[in-house]
Amino acid sequence: MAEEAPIIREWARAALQGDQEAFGNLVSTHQHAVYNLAYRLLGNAQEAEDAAQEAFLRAYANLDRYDADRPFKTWLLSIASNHCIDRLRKRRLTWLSIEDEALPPHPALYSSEPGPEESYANSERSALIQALLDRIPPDYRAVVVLRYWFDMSYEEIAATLHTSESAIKSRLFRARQTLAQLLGDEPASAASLAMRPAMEGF
Amino acid sequence: MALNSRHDQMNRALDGLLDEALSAEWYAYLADNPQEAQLYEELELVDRVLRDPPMVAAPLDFATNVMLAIRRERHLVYARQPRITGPVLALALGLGALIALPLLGTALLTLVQTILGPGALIVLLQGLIRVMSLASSAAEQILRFLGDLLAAYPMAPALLLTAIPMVMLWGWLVWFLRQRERPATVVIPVRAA
Repeated sequence: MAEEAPIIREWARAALQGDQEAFGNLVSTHQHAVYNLAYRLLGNAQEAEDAAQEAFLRAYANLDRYDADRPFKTWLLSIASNHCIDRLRKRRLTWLSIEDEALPPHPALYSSEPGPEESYANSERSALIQALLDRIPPDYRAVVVLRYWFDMSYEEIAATLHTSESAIKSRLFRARQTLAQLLGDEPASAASLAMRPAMEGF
Repeated sequence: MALNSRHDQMNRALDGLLDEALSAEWYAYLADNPQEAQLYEELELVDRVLRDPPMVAAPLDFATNVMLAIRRERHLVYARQPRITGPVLALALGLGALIALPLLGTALLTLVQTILGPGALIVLLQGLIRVMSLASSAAEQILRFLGDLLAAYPMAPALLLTAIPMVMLWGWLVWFLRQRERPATVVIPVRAA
């Protein structure tokens, strides 16, 4: 992950002293990263917004636990990803309690309502990738998102998810293997996704 | 090559973390193991699909909503108040113990001496009887006073019974009005795009 700008640490220190405006600056700076992480993990715009907001509230309430020598973004993403994983686990429990009922299709793929990707050039690719992510377990999904969306090293992912580096390597391998099987089941989508140039981003 | 090590090498190869020598070694290994080469090819496809993935932006009013929520949640504001740290608390408790120890010791010693002293039980019983007699006369006086009050003002009990719920209602109303929040105004700093 890219090195953090010194101003971020200054804002974090000021926020630690109770400066709410400095925390507002941190929210403005990291809102897209946290929202994006929540969206990729939860696969639902409304839930992602709630989870991202909750992550910022938790960060604010626990600012005294933040180690100012570590990147603020890593700490924030750690709170957000663990909160999202908890939500996914709870959601899974709810799903398991509904016997033999088919799961609804992913809204980004089938809904007629405009999603957050609509403002981007290639919403189809985004939706297809999301549909793939939605089909792997929460722990694997978190590792994939932190690796590919946030370019984190194995060590950073391990610190973010509070686990060992070897566990992260194992999850990443299994996640890739599962995604390969899913892509193998849909060769047309796979080819389309792999050939498409990465036009999106901000 | 052991399974874990193979998976690790595959990850590292996909993430571009192998140096030139290790990379050459890895591709030589794949050349000798077609099944592994097939798996690696599949994982490479996944890697291509996920490389430079599309980002989604937060809603326009997201930051404003977060700051409003922070202002709304009072406990979060309280969380920012300075807290008593562990060492300070330990020091305060230690000091308290140092002061309390001689006082408690003296009190305990006096108590033991009193109990074990001659005629202590009689003194204790006499004290007990005096206390009971005082309580009994106080109760008698209260009852007499209430009886006089009732004779003078027969409506007093009814008025008292009505006053209790009225006081409770007023108390609740005052509490409710004090709990009402004032509208919060928050300034969200806006970064240049």
